[in-house]
Amino acid sequence: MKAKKILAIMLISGLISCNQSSNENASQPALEENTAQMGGQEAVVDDESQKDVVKIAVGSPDHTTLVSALKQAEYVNDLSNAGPFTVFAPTNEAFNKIPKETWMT
Amino acid sequence: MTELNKMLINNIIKIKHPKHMSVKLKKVMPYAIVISASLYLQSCKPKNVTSATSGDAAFKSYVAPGKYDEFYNFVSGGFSGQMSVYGLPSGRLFRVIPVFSVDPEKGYGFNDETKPMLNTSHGFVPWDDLHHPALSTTDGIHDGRWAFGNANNTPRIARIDLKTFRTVEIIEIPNSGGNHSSPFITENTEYVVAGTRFSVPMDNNTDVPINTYKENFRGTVSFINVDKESGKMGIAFQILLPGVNFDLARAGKGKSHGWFFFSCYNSERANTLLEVNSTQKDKDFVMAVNWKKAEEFVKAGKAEKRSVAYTHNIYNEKTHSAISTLEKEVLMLDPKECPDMVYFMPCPKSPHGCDTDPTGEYIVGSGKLAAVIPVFSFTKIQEAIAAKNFDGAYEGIPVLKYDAVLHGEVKKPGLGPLHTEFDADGNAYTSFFVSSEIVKWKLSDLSVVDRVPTYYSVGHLCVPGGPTKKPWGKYVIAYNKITKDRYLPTGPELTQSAQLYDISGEKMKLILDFPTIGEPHYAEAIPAEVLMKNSAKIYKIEENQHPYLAKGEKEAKVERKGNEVHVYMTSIRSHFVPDNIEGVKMGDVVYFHVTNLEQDWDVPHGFAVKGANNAELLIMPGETQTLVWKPDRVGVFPMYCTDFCSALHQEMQGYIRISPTGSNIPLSFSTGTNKPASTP
Repeated sequence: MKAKKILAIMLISGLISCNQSSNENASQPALEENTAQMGGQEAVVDDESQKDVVKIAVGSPDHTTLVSALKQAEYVNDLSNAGPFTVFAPTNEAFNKIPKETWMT
Repeated sequence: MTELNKMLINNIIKIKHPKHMSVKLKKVMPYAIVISASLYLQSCKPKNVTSATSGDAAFKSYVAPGKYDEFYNFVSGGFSGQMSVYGLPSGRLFRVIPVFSVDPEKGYGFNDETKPMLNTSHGFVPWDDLHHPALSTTDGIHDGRWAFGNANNTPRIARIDLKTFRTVEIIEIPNSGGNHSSPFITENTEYVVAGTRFSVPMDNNTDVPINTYKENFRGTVSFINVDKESGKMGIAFQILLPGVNFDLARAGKGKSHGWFFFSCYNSERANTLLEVNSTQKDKDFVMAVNWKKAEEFVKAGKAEKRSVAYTHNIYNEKTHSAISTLEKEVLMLDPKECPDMVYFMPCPKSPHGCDTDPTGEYIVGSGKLAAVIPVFSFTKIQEAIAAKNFDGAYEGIPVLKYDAVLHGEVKKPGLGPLHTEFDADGNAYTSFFVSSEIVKWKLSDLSVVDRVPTYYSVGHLCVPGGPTKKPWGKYVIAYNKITKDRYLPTGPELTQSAQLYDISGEKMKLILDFPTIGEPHYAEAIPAEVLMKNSAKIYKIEENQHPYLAKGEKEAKVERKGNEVHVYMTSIRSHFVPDNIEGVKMGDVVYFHVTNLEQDWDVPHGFAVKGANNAELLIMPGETQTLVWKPDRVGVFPMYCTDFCSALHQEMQGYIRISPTGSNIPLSFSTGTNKPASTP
């Protein structure tokens, strides 16, 4: 009887270890290899739609300071959303009139 | 559950209850345990095909968030009347395209622009039963331009534009009842065919006793031509045929281009209790039609003009509106006047599927009650016709000798063969409804090489590109009729299901199981890259030619024409113009013509008004749609945008005031101003 009990335990433990190993085989490599690099809406490729605020600003040589400030403040994703947004967009020239000390504080 | 597992479980139970063990069993028990333990070790390996999915199934069907599927899968919605679009291998549902049934979610069949799409010679028909999608081909290969679908109840064929995934044309089929043998297409989409399932009295001789079936009921197959550039359909000709039931069809391709093959049952021509009366003969037919020859007969003036009535509905993507036209004539070819155009080939028994292989040489018939799968050879068909190797005639149409046209029979394939698809390596995959399985066999020697169960009762199959000259292969999908215990139960009414099998190796492996919309019949799959690059993002507002367009907020207005009030409304994040309307009276009919001024991808606006007896509008960027509303009481009625469009979507709302008949409140409209003038 004792031997039979041991066998029964072996069977049950076999069941558990069996499940574990098959789970590992199935899912783990899939997750690591396949997870896509995900950007926000600013990363959407779209040449048909009207340009949003961010795309207009990025394309403008007069707003490079604004764009880098938006990037630094991490507003690019927000402003690429559905809006509607009204953005007062100072030109580089306008930014240049701000004293440097103000920038630093 | 396998026998091995059953043994194992029995043994464990017996170990737990040793006092119930018989003496005899006690003696064999240690051996039994050893055997079952070793068997159990085996079952630790990926389970074999007969029990469940393979060990790497999750990996094979997994598409990571943000990644695309490899194939689009266009699946018939059966009695939902629609066509659904899934991704493969993930089984994710992307879109349900409304085709033959109204769809309040999208306003299809409810807004004024799409109502004419569902017009028929019987008037407005809000529902049908879509069985078979067919994707357009050029030189026998998917070209990604259009999908066609059949209406099985009120005979029609629809065309869907694969740039917009919208139904753009529906044509009704006269002299037909139950358009099942449809819409199968020729190699270059020259024709879409529509064969009638029910033979019926022809449209010019309708009031006859049902028991005069043999004299008065006839079958027809219609050849509908498709314009190469626009895709516009028109019935080129019909062929008048004996009163059998046409079931399914496939065009020839490659060497058999110019021919079309139709399966037919009920060669007994029974009009009652068909399950008994139409299964008397051992063989019915596969019908071979030389459609190039038919074209010549039409050109030579052999076709008779028949007066009929059928609608032809076309959606114009510039006016964003459909127009329904009633057509009154069709050309009919009678094989008695047109020799060498139609032949019958005997096919066992009650044929259903009729599929041509990628080379066009083999035509596979599947008799629902047959014990074998006959495979016909196109070369032998041509030889038999040339040698007039006939086995008499059926209703005046020559019957080719079975043995003369047969490539061979697949022996002991399974029970109840229905449909066959093909891969690029000379393999065929046939579904078996009764034995609930897919059987893989070789076209060359007709040997069965693999079989897998389906869960349960499979109907159609789909291999990506399976009906074309260039199957993409990789998967076979089973579309099942019965689900029972496969998913969480949802009361008596259960979903149907699809099962995805990997066919890249020698053995078919089940890797995914997903629910479907309505009952899936046939489906096709096409590589994603063929379609996705052409998919439209917006409608260009400058190309909008809708008669009630307001191209900008300055063009928004409200006009009265007698008791019709036309609201030229615009929507843009996050307001309507106008959003306050007064001076409308009981007895007026209000037309809300709403233009979505957005030109930004995935920014639809919706529109709904309280108490409207139809549905919402769902308006894509650059599009105009019209909701008709008959106010039923005096009061002020809210209206709002139904599609979450922006952070201030919930603010996108307005009011319309309805005053009593005879009220002298002037018509006025505004947005952003509180006009004091029209009070009281």
